[in-house]
Amino acid sequence: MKMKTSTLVAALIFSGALLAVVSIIPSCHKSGGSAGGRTFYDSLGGTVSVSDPANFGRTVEQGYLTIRTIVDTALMIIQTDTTINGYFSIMVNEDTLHAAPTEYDKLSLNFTNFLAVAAGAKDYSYTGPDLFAAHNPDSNFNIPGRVDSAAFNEFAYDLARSATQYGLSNQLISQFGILLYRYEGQVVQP
Amino acid sequence: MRWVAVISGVLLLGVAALAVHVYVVTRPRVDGHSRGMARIDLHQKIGRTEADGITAWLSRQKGVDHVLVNPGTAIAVFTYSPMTANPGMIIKAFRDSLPYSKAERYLPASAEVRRGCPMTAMPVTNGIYQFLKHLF
Repeated sequence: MKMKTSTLVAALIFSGALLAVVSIIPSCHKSGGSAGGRTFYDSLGGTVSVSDPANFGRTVEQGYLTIRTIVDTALMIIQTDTTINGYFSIMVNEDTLHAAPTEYDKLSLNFTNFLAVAAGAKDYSYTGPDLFAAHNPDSNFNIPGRVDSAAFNEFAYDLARSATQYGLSNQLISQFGILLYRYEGQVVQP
Repeated sequence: MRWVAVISGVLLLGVAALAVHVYVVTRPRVDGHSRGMARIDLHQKIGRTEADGITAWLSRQKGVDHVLVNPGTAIAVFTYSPMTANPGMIIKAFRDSLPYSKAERYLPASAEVRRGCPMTAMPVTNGIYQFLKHLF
């Protein structure tokens, strides 16, 4: 019950963040969201090097690890969410050859890199598809139709649940929401 | 005539060696850090207690590292290491061991996969990188 309440609070903050983005931020896609030189990525742990729990003997930046952990949990939440899991069914596609990377690996890597770069990471790069073209049925024939706002909001809600579970403060979750909704226009197209 | 046979033999050996080489360097390999995700649709109502029981059972399976069960949608998902876990076998054992006979592994149809989130697309450069990673 306590978790549910905090999730609802997170969702409300996300909604507030959406309004803030619409009213305050112009339609640019500058990454980072820095305040006084400090980026959102810094707030998530920044470039501090820590051991990577998923790669024994290797290190990873704390900011990147934070984002990756939130993304990985969010991908699980999304897969159990019947509202939007249809968009992400590729994640559970049988990997008969056991070849790496799996579809889950690729989705996790691309989402994490995208968000890390958007948050202000300098040591990582996003090499996935252009969001606008990928979500536009005119340029990507595999997309059955345009993604609507409700689906995007549900995606944001699931990400907020994951961030809450991770233990991010409400302020950071709100910043996460602002960051995410900067790209809503590229995914949800008129 | 003898020369033709020798040249043909050498060429044949060369082609065979090349084929073996191509197979060795391009065959699918398991990456120790790689993770897959599998989904079980339970097709029956469950509560929090049952969800906890399913989580505990799946977490005990070799190679499974994260489990999430949503009682609201009756869906269980888990991530696993493809090196050590076979999701198909785990789900079969799940059905045999727990009272969820209607449970089935969800596998999307190919059309569904094509329509899915484009974020899994990897650029050609990544493909080259992965290929080089296989080599070295």
